[in-house]
Amino acid sequence: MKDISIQELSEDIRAAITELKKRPEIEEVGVVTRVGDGVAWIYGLTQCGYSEMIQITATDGTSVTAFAFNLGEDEIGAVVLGDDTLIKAGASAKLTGKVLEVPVGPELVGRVVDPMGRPLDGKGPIKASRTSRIEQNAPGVLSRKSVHEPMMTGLTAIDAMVPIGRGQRELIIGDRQTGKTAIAVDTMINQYRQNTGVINIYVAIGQKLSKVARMIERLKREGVMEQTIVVATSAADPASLQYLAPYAATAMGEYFRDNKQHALIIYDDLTKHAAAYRQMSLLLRRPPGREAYPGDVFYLHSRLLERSAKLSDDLGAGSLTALPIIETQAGDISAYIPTNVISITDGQIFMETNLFYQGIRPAISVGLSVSRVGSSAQTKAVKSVAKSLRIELAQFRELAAFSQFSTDLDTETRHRIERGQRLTELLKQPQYSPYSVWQMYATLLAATNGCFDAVPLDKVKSSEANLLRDLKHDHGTEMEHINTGAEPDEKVQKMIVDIANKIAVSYKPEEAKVEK
Amino acid sequence: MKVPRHILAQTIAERTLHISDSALLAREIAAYLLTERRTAELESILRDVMQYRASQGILEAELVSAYDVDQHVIEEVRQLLRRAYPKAKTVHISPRTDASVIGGLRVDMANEQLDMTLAAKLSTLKRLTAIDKE
Repeated sequence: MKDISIQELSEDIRAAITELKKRPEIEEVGVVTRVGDGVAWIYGLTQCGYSEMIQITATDGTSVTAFAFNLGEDEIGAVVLGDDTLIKAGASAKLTGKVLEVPVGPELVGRVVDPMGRPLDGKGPIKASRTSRIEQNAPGVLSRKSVHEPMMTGLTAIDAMVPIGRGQRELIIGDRQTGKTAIAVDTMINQYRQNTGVINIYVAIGQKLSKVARMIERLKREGVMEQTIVVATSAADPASLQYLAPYAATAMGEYFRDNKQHALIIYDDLTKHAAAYRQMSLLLRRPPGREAYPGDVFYLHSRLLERSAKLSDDLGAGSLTALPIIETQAGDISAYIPTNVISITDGQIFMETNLFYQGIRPAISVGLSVSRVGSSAQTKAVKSVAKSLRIELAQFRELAAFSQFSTDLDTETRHRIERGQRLTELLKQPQYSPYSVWQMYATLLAATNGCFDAVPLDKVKSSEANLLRDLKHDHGTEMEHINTGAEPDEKVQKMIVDIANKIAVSYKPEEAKVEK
Repeated sequence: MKVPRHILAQTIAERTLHISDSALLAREIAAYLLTERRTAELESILRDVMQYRASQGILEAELVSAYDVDQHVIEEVRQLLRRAYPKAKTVHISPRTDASVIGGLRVDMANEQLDMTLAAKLSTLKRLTAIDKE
């Protein structure tokens, strides 16, 4: 049990005395007429505002918090945030005069909390000095600046072809078990490894607690937890908490955005968020629409994602970057919720199941993935080598079906297929191993200059590893310079290509060396 | 078509102002609610009735205390309510005992409450000094 600080207790008692000394006044009170499934219907409280917090007296004398979600002519539908089994019909309900708020500030970094800001990690109470409303207006047009700074994920496939910038919303979409969360975790790890100073916020919406626990353990092991806030709700939590989780986490991220810092927020996943909102809406007797979702399910996500933005220099140039995750069924990206979120975000990374099972991980579909921000958010170094990457991979995909007829094809076609196979192999990356800028640059420069064209396919990754090892060992200074994002001069480029060619020669098949 | 609850309550409230046999009125209301399958709304309807009557100057309040209160206390509460609601022509107070309030008084009206009970103060103290349990 945590030791009580007498200082804190003394302050609490003084605050309590001040509160209790106030003269009782006649206050508006409502009565719970019925309760069930996390919703309490309340008579009275005519002055209640939308989303205002209501305190309901439970059977054991404690207070249970709810918030007003349906303001009807005859009664209020309030969504209960705690245990609704403690409330019975006839219980009194009082207004608090406040809307939903959550503690925000640097005190939350490194902690695991619930959507109300209550700690879940057993490290004691969070003494945040500020609170912020869960629902806030998004910054206006004049408050924003265009996205121009890169948010490096450390994954070559993304940073080269689907670059993400600070303040962008990039959707990660795919079937279950395709590596969506893995991309998000690697991005968080990369912020720590590259010392970017970006604060990570991971929102688990209705996830399995075992999965969240495993992820937290991994983040701790990688040292990332020190700059991460985890807002966790499990599948066992009430739909109301699952509904509030992304908004509460965004309020926490907005603190950093508005204070000249940068934050990255990952919503895992918004499909479950929409399902929780549907459950609440149906219980509140709101009319169901398509797929039984309420009519404002688009607004549910649009008002959330619009709060992720890059602010103007006048407002401190902070940013909040969002990586929402959507789970599809059987790869159907034309379903209701996926199409909604695709139309809101600034691009999507589409994960394909068949790529995953072919061993191509991250299983990113280059053809269907896009970043609407594009090269504005790319470092100059990666931009210079990524130009031809998309085209070569697109050409490879067109010709991939012919790869089984390799001996009957003309030289040009065979070359394109072999180049595409090697590029695909190079874009594979193990989990928890994000690349720095110089590693991506060196790999792509060597690949697009044909250095690995003669290397057997199963040796491409090891030749890449040798190249990176040699560059780090022998040319560390030049590589550090590339890491700043600047494009290296021709001398450095030639040096990298020469080293890559030398390494590639050692991997050539014996018969090729003999012929030579 | 279902009669809105506030219209129903207004009708009942106006009947209460002009009728002398409350048992007859009660049977009529019960019959209506049973026919219309609105018995679950009885509590809300009665509160609406109290609210409407309060707007007509007839204020009803329930005085809850841990122990029996004497007439002197009831008169003081009546004066307090007259001051708080200057438009009230008549103030009906119904005393009730409830040991759970521990001490002090609570005045319950249709939509409002004046809570001076010890139980409320203890609940506030508990809420304000709550320490997270691990």
